[in-house]
This record gives sequence, C-alpha cells and structure tokens, in this order.
Amino acid sequence: MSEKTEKDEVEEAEETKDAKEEVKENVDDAEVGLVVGEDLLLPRDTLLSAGIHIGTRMKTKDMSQFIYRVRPDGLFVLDVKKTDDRIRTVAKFLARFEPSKIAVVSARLYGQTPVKKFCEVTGATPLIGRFVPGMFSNPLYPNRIDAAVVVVSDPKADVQAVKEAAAAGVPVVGLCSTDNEFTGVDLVIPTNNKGRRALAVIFWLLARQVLRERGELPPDQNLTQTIDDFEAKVTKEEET
Amino acid sequence: MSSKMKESVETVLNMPTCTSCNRVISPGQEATKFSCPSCGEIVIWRCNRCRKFGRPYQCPKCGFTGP
Repeated sequence: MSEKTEKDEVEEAEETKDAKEEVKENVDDAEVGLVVGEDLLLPRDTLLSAGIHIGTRMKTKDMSQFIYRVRPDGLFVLDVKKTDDRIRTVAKFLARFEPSKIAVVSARLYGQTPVKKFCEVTGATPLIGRFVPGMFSNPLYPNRIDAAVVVVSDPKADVQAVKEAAAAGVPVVGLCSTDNEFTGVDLVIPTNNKGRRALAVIFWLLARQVLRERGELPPDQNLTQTIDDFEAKVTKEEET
Repeated sequence: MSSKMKESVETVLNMPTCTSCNRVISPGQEATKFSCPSCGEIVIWRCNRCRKFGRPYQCPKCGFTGP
C-alpha cells in the first residue's frame, strides 16, 4: 500500500511539475487572481514557480470558494491571494499556542522534511511517517501527545490524526488542495499539498510568519534557513 | 420542572452553543473551542456535527469565516 502511495505521489509531483512549467510560460495576473500592487508574503514569481496555486483535476464543493478558475487541461487553479491571507491568519492563530503544544503531522513523503524543519524553527512537535493510532486519544498510551492544536499537511492522508484530534476536541489546521473536504478541519490553508517545492514554500512561509507574530523575528527579516533547506531531497534511487 | 427552577438551572449552567448551528453543546460531545483565528477575542465553538460536515462558522466580532 505504501508503494502505491509513493507511486501516486511521484505521479502527482510530475503532473505538478508539468503544470508549473506551463504556468511559468504563460504567467498572467488574471490567471491566479492577483491585482497589481497587492502585498504578498513572497514575490509573486517565487510563489508561482513553486506551484502553490496548482490544484488537482478534482474539485470538492468545500474548496470551491478558494478556486479561481479551471484551466483548459482540467486543472483547478487556486486563488493565491486567499492562500496568502490564510497563511497570515493561521500564523496569528498558531502564535497564540505554546510551541510544544503544536503537533504537526505529515504522512506524505514530501511533507516530512518541511514539517521537520518547521518544527525545528518554531519548537512544535513533529509527527512524521506513520501516525500511531491513540497518539492523541489513548490516555494509556505511553507516548501520547497532549496537543493543543494539530496541523496536518493533507487531511486525506492524515485522516487518523484528524479523527483523533476531533475525538480529543483539539482544533485542526489543514493544508487543503482542491480535492480535499473539510471533514474534521477547523481552519484551512488552500494550497497545493502534493508538490515538493510547494510544501517547502508553504511551511517556510508559515514558520517565518509564526516567528514574526510571536515577536521572535522582526517583520522585515527572513529566516536563517532557506526554502531549499525546507525542501525534501530526492535521492537518485528514488528518481529512477 | 417549574419555571422558577428551570430559570435557576439556566443561570447556573451556562451551556456553550455551536457558532455554526447555534445548538447547545452538551458535556461529553466531541466539540472543540478555539479563539477566533483572525481577531482572537471571541471563542468559537464547533459541535461534532458541524465539524463532520464542514459547516462554515463566522466570528461575530470580526466577521472571519471559516473553515
């Protein structure tokens, strides 16, 4: 089953890469819902080249409010301005919690490195790879984590964490693409949650914004880590 | 229950209501509460049904709409 998941991830990543290249060529403000002069957390080109606005070929009713348009090839495009707004809101929200009480979950391969780096920077608790059932809800489990808020990189892949957070009454923040539903999620960041680069950019932005909201980083300064540090590295074996 | 007693119970037990559906949240329900992500001044309650169905909620103070 895990092989299938990895294969799917690679296919989706390739799809995103193709879409990204196409967008690079035909980049247009109207395409992604931007108005000239709007302030974004990162330059527009960086966001678009990372492909954070690229969705999937599937659309849910829940996510339709964040979808800007559908491309001729059937891919749904997310509104970058709304993604930017939500990153600011989520950062404000996360900054109110004690860092160690924030649990960040990622079962996806490409989400694991960004999550690890995010937790290093912000002091949150990373839960990567397989989520052991009972981690949030079983009081007898010795490695139980008492989280105050849970961040999931994909509500579909991290469904066990979402379920247990719901059972424990813990709010859930989810990175949702166009094919996700809002079941169990209390706050959504609309973004591409499958691309390697997109996940790195989102977690980097979120980490920087959380530190700024906490007052640990001046508003005009960047993190010492780069976006490349947040990106999952693909070895030659995985590429072939 | 007499009206006087009912009134006294309501004043003692200030039950929270779901921000989305306005239903009373009884103890033991898998509900959640969190401060408004945008303004942080209002506590938002979501009952288990509204969480399950992804029903929208709105902050009465700043107008932020989630999820």
